[in-house]
Amino acid sequence: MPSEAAKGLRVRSGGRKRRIYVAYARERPKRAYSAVDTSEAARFPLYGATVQRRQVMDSDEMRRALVRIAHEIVERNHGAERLALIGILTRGAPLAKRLAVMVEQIEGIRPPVGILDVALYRDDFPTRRPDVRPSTLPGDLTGLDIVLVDEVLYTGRTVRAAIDAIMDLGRPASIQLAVLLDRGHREVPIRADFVGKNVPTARSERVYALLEELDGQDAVVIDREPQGALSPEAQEDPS
Amino acid sequence: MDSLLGLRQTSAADIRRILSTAISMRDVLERSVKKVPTLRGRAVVTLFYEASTRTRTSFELAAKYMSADAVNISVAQSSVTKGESLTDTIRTLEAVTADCVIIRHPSAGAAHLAASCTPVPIINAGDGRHEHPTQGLLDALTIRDVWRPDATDWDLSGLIVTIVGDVAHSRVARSNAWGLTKLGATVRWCGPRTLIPAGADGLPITVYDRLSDALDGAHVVMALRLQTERQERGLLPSLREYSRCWGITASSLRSAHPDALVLHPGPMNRGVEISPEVADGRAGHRSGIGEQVRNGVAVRMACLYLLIKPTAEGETL
Amino acid sequence: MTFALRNGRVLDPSQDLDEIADVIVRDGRIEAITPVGAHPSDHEESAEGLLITPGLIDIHVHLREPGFEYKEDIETGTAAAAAGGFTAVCCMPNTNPAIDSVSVVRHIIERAEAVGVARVYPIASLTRAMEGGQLAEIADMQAAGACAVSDDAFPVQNAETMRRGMEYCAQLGLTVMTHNEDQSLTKDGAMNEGRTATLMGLPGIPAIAEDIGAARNIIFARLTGCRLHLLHISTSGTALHLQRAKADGVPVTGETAPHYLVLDETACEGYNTNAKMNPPLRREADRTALIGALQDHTIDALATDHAPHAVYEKEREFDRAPFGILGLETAFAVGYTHLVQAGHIGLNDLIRLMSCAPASILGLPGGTLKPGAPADISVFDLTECWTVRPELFRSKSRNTPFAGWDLSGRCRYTLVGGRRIDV
Repeated sequence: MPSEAAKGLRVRSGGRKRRIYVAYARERPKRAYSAVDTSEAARFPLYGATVQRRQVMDSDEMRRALVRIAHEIVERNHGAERLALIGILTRGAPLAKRLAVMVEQIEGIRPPVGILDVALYRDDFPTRRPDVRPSTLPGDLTGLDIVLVDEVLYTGRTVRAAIDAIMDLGRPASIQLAVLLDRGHREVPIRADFVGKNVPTARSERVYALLEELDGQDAVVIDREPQGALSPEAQEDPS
Repeated sequence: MDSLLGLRQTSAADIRRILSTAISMRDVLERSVKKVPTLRGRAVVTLFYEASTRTRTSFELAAKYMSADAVNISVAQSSVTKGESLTDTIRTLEAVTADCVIIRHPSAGAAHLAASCTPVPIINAGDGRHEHPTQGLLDALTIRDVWRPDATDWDLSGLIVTIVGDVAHSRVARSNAWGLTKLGATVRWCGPRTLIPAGADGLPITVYDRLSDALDGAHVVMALRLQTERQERGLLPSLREYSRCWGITASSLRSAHPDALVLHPGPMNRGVEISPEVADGRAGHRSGIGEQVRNGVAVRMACLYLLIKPTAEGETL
Repeated sequence: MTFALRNGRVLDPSQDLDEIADVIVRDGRIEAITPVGAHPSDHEESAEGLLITPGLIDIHVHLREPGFEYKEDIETGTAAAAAGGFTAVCCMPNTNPAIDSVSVVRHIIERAEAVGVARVYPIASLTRAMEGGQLAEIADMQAAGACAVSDDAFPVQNAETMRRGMEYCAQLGLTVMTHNEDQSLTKDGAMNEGRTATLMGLPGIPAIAEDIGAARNIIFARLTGCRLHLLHISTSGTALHLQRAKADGVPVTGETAPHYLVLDETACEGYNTNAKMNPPLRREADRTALIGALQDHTIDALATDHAPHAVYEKEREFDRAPFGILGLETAFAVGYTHLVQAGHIGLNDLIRLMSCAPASILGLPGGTLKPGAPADISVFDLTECWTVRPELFRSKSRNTPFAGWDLSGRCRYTLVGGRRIDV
């Protein structure tokens, strides 16, 4: 089977809509991000099936989106005096730091940055508890305009958990939400105030936001479940 | 991890995971609102066949800080022999959908027995003289805070921990022997030979006959509670003599490391196994006895968090 | 009426016999052992490929009747015995009421005649109600059919009582079978004192408690001349005391049980109450020493200490579970697989230890295929490999540490007084 899979590997060149076919491993490693390679077809010989990968954002696009979000945050909050950016672990944290730097470039004030772990507030892990990591928050939140930062907005459950966590920690003046990517499929009534890019996806697809700080590069890629026996849902999906 | 029955069976990786989680739990304890919704709607039962206010309260607070419903069942000693069998009690608790049972029992292996008859996670809160794993974990946390505050890998190698007293009847001594050595520390036991168990060489410890040798260079000194009935059973002549020979005092601590940390699993007999000034931290060394209690709640929150499985379906990002 | 078991391998250590032959039975007794086909008979059965031995005799069994019929009774206990190849068992007096009176002795003998499928010889209690105080009416019980006297399960602690009891039994010519334990050393003990008990946090039963008890009882045997039989020897120390006492001419014998020869204290790991008995499983060193004591004939016999307990009694906290395990249905196969096939002793040794020797220790009929002896015969298939499945036991109880073990050698049927008992 591995050899069959190797034959199936092909790279369709041509700008952003570059499609990469890689063999699909059913047991995806928990932290697959750093293993994701957008430039070259990686091969997982387990099932010989292929996963279709497309890149929806490159590093320039990501930078432009974040700059825009930073401007919007400043505009919405009439400056940055009472602002605090709180990144949701794992990938929201570096994004919050980047946005703080960008806000400083715009306003001359660097808003405090916090890191929030929402493991204790989540309700959506099927079997294994996620590791709980310490949160670091910029002191008393009372009266601040909090901007939660996360990389992908999907069901909204993580953000729901983050709002609950913030509310337990203090009484901010407002809580806003900034995300790099909104992929739809909300399960709770939550909307982002600042969105880098809206990308329609299928539920069967997996979205990975790669960040320089953690993964060595900036990019957003979407993996589509393999055609074939592994996922009937993927077959029905038109995208 | 399905249950926490003892540190002998718990892998070093699991021990590190519990302790790392406990550090995050301590953050929760420092908040003004000491409550997270993690275990909302889950039922935690403390089933205690032995009187213990401290451990039971610690578990109950841990459950409540995690928003679980904590129910306490205290089984009076006198009714045990006539009453329902342990396995029937456990099956009953399973039937009423307990999500975790915390058991304290005078018989070694009672937690194993409980775990063998139910899929409900069991936490051993002390079984006879066998193990008291959460105590071992909280001691590891306390020791790390003092001696290796930056050790995120929980490496305690190079540290010497001396446990003094009635190790024969001590589940704390056994859990500490396993837990601390799995993190790399060296554990010494010391006490009168009548209170050292036969076959102690099966544990990863070294037994010392002389207190001064055992304390030599020790980074941590743990005094064990001496039950007064040991005297009645003829294991020692008098508490006075015990105190003179084996009590942890400012003078006996002189051979230990100058910054030695003194621990006691409590409740203390001041003036017997530990002198009042050492117990209260007035003897020029460090006392972790207050920290132990606070860490106990954090460790138990971590255990509940890791053992009670989530119910929601589907993983979402 | 004659019956012939033809063409089997006849192994009888009492007459150094091991050959393919016919066993001829007449009127419940052995008529002769003859060359194959040499003797005509009214009925016959082919035993080709099978092993024919004197019926196995277990001198240490708890049948639990009267008083504890929920654990075992004479009917199920003897059925278990027959399934294991035993044609006779001696039952211990720790029943309720204890075997401390003529009426209980008679009751057991009558019940065994009515429902038993193996011979049952009651063992009388040394003291009334086994309380270790006043002597029981031993002479009366002897006259009623008690085969020996024992304090098993409640070892007599008071030295004066033990001395007087043995003096009394010496005069009657009765053997006193002792559970050797100085209980001042074993208070609260649940398993062998040592490494495993310390790991498991269980109170220990030191080996020396048995050694001291055995030494004391040997001293009384020397003093009184009473025949002494040391029950279930589990320590190398007791085996050593026995060896020295025999060398000194003290009238003493000793037995051990199969579990002490194939298991050690680590079998208790996981709080396995089916590995809890008293005396407890000891160290590996004791186990190997006991095998040595079998090889040099220091230990005279194997007995099972068959001690049934209900499932719910064993499914509980280790220190609160009762002592004792089953033995009748696994003893021969455990011995054959783990002593004979393992090369520690010969097959004739195993049969001697389980048949001839027990008979001679208590002077019981059987244990031999000599002409004129009762036709108590066991027939084994040594080639049969089987897995121990407690749910299939004839015993009412299930408390065996051998569940799931693959063993070789199984009893096909027995003859008790010429009457065939099918397994």
